[in-house]
Amino acid sequence: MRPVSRLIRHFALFCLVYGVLLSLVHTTSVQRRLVPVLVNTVRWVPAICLPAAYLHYEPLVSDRAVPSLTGDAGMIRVRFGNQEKVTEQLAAAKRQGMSTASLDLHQFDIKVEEFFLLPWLFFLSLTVVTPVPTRRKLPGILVGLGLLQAFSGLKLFLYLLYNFTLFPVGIYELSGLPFRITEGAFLHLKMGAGMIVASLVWGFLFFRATDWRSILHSIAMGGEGKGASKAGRGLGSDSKSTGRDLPGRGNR
Amino acid sequence: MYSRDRKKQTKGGRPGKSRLAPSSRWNPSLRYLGAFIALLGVFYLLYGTHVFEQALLVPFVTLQADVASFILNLFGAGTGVRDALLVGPSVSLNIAKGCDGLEATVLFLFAVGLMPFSKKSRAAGLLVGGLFLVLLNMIRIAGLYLAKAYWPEGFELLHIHGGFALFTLASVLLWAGWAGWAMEREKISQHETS
Repeated sequence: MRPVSRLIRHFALFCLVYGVLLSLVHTTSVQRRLVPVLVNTVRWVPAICLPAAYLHYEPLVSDRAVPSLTGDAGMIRVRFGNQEKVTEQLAAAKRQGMSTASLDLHQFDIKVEEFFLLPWLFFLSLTVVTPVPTRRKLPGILVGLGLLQAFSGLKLFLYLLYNFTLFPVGIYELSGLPFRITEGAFLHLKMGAGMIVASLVWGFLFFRATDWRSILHSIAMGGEGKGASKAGRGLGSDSKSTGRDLPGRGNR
Repeated sequence: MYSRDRKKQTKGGRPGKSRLAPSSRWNPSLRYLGAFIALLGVFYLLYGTHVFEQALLVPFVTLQADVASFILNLFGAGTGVRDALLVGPSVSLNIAKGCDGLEATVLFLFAVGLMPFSKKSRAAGLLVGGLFLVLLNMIRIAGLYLAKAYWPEGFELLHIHGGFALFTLASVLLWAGWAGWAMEREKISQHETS
């Protein structure tokens, strides 16, 4: 098969996998299970880094019963404040015998699709179409999703720091360069950055010094799966990584 | 990053000890990744500055809007450009920061620039691939305008998933395609010299 045809084939396969995953995550029943998992696997980052903060995450899932490609995958409302003040306000309300308390909190919303799912879907689809053996894909997927969640946790931490400065509650107020860094993260670590991180994670997990040539050659020129699966058994291995040891030879 | 090693390997008939053959198989990957992240860090630092925005980004986005408008007007769309706004008779499309395609293009350029191939191969990749992605983004902008005008309910889908996921995929596949081409090209040139 010609290289362009191969690339188009990979593109089409990616679109197919991506479309299936996208329609799945747009299903309300999947969202109801997935969104809390997404939140719970990143909330530890700000919880550790911002111990004086009161943080509350509220998943907002649409009631759509039918999966829709054009719909969204819900939101997460992040409420934040000063833990000490919130504790005082709750205690005061309890002393006064009130069933509800007025809390000094601020909030911002996170779009699940843009914040979490876009890098997930991209990474998963890219992994599926990558010509490496399944036994290597499965642990790669687990580690990759873990790394993407760590990145989302870091992003959430930076978003919170920015918002703590924007809406002061007496803690974590930044100025100067640290504030500009959080501002930059809030403004620029969006979908494009998520895609770049997903691509880097994919490259990091599936391209090794022993076989990156054979994998790339398989994607572009053919011999799908063979080159990559033989990696470490001679083709392009470290000790033989010479200028002449190019992957095409291993596939013939 | 590895081009000098490559020369070391290919000039002599026998494989020399190179940085591509370290004791740990992860070292070159980590070095590549480290260089990549460092370059991305520099890019994002610049991307957020006012100087970069005014000197490079605004002219670049305006150019993209101009070409997208030109493409649309070939089909009688009747669009015009006001700054980064693509204005038509019924709808207008704002080419916001992040929709400029720069991140995916930079991803491709860094990926090509850091690969251990000859300077000629990399220069060809940077030039042809870079131009291809810029042109593709212009077509994407024109397509998004049409979606907003004729399929508004599908606009967000195309904007997010077509605009970011597929455009980044195009960048990744273009990189893989270029790498395959560069491997074949260098294999042929080695056969010719030996």
